[in-house]
Amino acid sequence: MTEAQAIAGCVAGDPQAFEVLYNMHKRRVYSLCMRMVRDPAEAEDLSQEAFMQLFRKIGTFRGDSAFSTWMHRLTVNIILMRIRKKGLDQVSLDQDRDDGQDLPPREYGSEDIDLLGVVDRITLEKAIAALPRGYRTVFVLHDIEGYEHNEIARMMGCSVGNSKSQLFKARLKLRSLLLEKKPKLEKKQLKASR
Amino acid sequence: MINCPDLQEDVSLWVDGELDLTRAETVKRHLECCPECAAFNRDMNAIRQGVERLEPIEPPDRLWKSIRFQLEAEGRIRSKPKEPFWAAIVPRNFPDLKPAWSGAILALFLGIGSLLVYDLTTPSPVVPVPAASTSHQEAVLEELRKAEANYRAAIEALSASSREKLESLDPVLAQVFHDNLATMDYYLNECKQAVENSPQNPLAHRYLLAAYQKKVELMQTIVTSDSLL
Ligand SMILES: [Zn+2]
Repeated sequence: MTEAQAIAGCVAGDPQAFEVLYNMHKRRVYSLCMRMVRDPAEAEDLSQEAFMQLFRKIGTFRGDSAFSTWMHRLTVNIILMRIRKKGLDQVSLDQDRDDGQDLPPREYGSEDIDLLGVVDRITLEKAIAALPRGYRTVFVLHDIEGYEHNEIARMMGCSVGNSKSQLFKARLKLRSLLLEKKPKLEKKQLKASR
Repeated sequence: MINCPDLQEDVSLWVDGELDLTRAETVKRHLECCPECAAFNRDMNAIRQGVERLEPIEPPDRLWKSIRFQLEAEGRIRSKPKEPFWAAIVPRNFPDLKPAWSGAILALFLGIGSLLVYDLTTPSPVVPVPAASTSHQEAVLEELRKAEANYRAAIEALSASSREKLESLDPVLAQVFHDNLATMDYYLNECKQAVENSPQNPLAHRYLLAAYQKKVELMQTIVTSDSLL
């Protein structure tokens, strides 16, 4: 079943079509929710709401944009709305207190101080999860989901400049979080090699 | 004089290709002579590459089950004819509930079904109802009314706490209970109708009381539903 066939099937109420469409998009939707809210129960709830809204509105999908774009935009809106509604430390773009200026002192000049080789998947996921929410939101939308700053600005109701500077601060903070992990990793690797 | 933190903001834009040519040129020249900013640049690229390696997170299987159940509850899914008729009544995603309720509802449904068929196809009772005196018939009905009153009292007693419980439960589970309650009420009304149509039919009495019993049991299940999860 192609995506277009599945969409038509959903409009007609074919149970298999719903499942096909769900399977096509479940990972991306759930990953987005998980990375934005961190809590698995909340992420499940948001994913369910996203799919239900999608299935309720599917008859209005006109195909003038890609279906996945439509679906993911809808998911982002649901997440942002939930965050605002719950007042979860706000999707504040003025989170200037925690902007990565607390970087640990670094030494420069030798190869091994780079993050290259440190940034494995699991370490990165953990560091992203540890970002303050405002930073994490912009980082996930821009660097992981690939949204442009002007789209992020529109979705979050801020300026493009604000989105750009927020992303910079997010990356700065992320780098400092990853660098904190680096000495531990090196010790582990040293132990393992003995 | 170049301020390194300010330049690093430009480095962050540069790795995204969001810097105009003049500023990009300034960044490139600075990176050649500043190890601190060069390290920052390498780190930005490392993060970028790390993000590319991120894998999608697999949702748990129950997510689809909950969505499917909600689709059914909202009537968005055309029911498959090959499924047994009670599959639409009994939720799939709460296996703890299914054995208990599918059995109960199925039994009741078949009971009422046979009762209705029995009513429709038999102008006079096939099951020999003892030629009871009017006073005996009234006594039987009186017993039925007493039993009904007891069940109604039990339902009344359970209604506040079950309503409260439903509000605090997981919305999906609460919906399951709501749907089951609605189904029970539907059959309860069918049974009441059957008794009204043939007040002397002992089967009708039995099914009416069974329907009350099942409703009370369901409400008790709701009130103690924490143990189901
Ligand atoms: Zn510099």
